[in-house]
Amino acid sequence: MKADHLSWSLISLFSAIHLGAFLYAFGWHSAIYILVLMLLAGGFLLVRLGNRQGASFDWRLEVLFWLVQAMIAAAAVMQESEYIRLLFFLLFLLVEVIRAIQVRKLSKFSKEINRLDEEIFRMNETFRTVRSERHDFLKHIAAIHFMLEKEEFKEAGAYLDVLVDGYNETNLSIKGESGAVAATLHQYYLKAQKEGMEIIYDIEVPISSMPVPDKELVGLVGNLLENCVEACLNWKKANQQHAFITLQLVKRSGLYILTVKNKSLPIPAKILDRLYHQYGLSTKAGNERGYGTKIIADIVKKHQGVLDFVYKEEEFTVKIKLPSIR
Amino acid sequence: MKIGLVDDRAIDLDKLAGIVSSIPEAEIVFATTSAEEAYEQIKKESITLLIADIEMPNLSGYELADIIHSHALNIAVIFVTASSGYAVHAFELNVHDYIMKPYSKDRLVQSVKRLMEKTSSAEIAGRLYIKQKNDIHIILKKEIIFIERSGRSTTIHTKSEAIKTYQTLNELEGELRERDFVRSHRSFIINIHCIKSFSLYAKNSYTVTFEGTEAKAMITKEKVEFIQNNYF
Repeated sequence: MKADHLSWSLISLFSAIHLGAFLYAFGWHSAIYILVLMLLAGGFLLVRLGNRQGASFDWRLEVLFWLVQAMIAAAAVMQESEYIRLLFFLLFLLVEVIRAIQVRKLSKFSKEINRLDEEIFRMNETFRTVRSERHDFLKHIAAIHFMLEKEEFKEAGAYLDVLVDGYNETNLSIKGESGAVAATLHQYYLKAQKEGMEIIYDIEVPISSMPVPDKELVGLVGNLLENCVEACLNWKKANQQHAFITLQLVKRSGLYILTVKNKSLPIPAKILDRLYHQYGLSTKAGNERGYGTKIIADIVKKHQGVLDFVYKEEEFTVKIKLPSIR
Repeated sequence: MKIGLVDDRAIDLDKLAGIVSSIPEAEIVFATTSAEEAYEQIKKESITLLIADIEMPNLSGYELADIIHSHALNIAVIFVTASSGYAVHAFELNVHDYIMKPYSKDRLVQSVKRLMEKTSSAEIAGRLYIKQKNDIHIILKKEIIFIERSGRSTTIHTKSEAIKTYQTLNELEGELRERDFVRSHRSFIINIHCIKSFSLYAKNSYTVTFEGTEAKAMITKEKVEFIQNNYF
């Protein structure tokens, strides 16, 4: 970031001198420091826009860009005519703008790849769980069969209880869902369980039946649950009480109504006012936070849905209504 | 909502009754420690929700739920139990919730409220009187799926037939409650409870498909947003 600031300051300074000289040649005398300030401000804005998502090119490509820009600058210096110099200056700026646009795109793609990587990991984990259950299935049957043959009914019953308990975990999440959604539901179920919380999935129609591509569904449900688990965990730590999260999906009048409820510590009004509207708003610590809510809002908006949230009596409720558009 | 409670431990039953009675709109029809008594009540279909323990002598909560499920009775079930062993079977029986003891008041209250929201089906009351030449046609309002104006006549599509009339949409609109019927388009009034899905027709309008009929209606984008913002 610092190197970027320096580079932009330098560009601004050179551009200001250049522009100043150009205007001077036309007899428009303006103070060079005003131009420097103007361009610094412009440069700063561009840096903020370009780097908001925190990515940059590979160093080779960066060097190449700088080389091209240096050549343009050198060519400009060698020119006599002010018009041609202006042309070179504009060319220089154009290259910079292209660089900024491409960095933005790149950062978007790299985020997407990271998310998909996580998704693949989650799917593999869930698949592994289901596969291991399947793998052990016959062994369990054999064990129960053996106990029943020996008329050890009580032992067989106890064995079955433990077994069924384990199946419950996967059964809740995979019912009627596509692989990606099931994996997300299952992973958050496990995560909550690990933290001593309970997730209640009250799903009347499968989440996968919503008219939203799997990739976005995972982004939607994953981010919603991620926020819930984190908020609920903080609440649980502060209150030392049993905490639970409810995710409900019903379909009414051609609308999918997804409601997520969880306990949450008070949210500062400043954040609450602009939640789901702006990137980077978060009560969580660390960098790169606060994207989840914006991603959720973007997906809902893209599918003509509406999002509403309420914080009342330590309970945070998000309600999303998406029309069933076929 | 009419609720029945059954738990063989009196102390647990008292806790249940205490929590459920604090929920507005919840009416406890019976609270018993005897599963047999609960069974008698279920047979009478005197309740819409049964909150039951699973492990009880003679007749288990699981068996009660099984009876409800196999007779397709209109009774929802919430299990409140100390054993997690039945959870998988419970979900096969379409049990609304499975709450592990010990539980918090909130946990049970939310579960019941969620069910109330889900089952609060708007029963549309009243009839519509349609003049047809010398006859008067009586239509139950809840039977109406949508009404379409085409040319100089209006067609009322109900679950069983399509009835033609010369009354205008404005006249009919006045007789139908706004909560259930929406003027979705210049030429349509639709029953919002019957909507199945939308499909894009033009930039600012959708066609609407319904449960119970092949016929389609139109709705503007604005009205879809209106429903999204003002209903549910």
